[in-house]
Amino acid sequence: MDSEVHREVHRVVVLLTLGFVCAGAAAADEAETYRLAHLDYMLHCQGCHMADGSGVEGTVPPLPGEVGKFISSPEWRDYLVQVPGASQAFIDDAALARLMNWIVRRFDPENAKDLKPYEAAEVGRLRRQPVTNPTAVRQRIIAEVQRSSAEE
Amino acid sequence: MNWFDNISIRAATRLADRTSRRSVLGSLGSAIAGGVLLPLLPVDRVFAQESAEGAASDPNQDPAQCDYWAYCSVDGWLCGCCGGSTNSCPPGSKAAPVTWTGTCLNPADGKSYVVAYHDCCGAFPCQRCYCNTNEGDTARYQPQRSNSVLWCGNGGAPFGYHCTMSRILAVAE
Repeated sequence: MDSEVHREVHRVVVLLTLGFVCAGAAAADEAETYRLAHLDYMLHCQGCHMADGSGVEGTVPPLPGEVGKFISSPEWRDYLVQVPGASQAFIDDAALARLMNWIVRRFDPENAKDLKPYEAAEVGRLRRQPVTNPTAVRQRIIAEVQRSSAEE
Repeated sequence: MNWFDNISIRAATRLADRTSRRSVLGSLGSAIAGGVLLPLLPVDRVFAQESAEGAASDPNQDPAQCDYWAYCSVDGWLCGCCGGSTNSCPPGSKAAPVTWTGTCLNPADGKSYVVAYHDCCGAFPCQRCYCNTNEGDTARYQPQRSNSVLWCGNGGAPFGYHCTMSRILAVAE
């Protein structure tokens, strides 16, 4: 009986240890993903969007509380990748997907709850169809989203 | 020891004959006053200090020189030569918020750092210490990585490029 209890305790301890090790590894992965995405933000976005995402009035749109506002809209989601700054960034598709996820979560955590993470293949497809007039496209998407939510 | 005493006595007597206590006090006073006033002279010390702090023997570590590691992709006049410093604009000019951002390798520790170059704007061209290193620079039709683009007149910064200052933002790897 005692040996059975011991075996059970042993099994629980092993499982718990494995659980902690896996959780630790996942946390380390997450921290590294965050670091690399932040680095790419500094190198490819921050020059215009600023460190705090505030942008430049009249020229570069602000990110905080804005970037994820319509993230449930497929058009908005696509648009974020298709804007020139994102689609033409000198990074590969996987890094751009990681960067897009980071931007939405970092600057718009409230709306990021509705974010289905971008993936490399999706980003790769979208960046090959860049928008040529981002301001007009943005205004059209926002107007459409607002109209459809008013009708509901 | 007599000869030594004689020489000493003769020298002291001669000195006493030629000088008065007042003249000694006067010279001493001038030296003290001059020593106090000397640092107040209008000389640009910030850059001199930075230069002294950097290992003068290694141009890679001296912010006063174009070979300084963090200037790996500068294209402009170094603000340290223009009354500002390595990382601040000279008085009378304003930093453009939009920047060129890239990485430079510091050979001292073998690490790459994220560096942003700000144009300082709103004053006449400084035209001193031109530095054109261009590592990772792209053509003007790829403006997000071209260091030839002047960002003055953008984002609230006044027109008129004055000089370039560098800010080290983070460790890249």
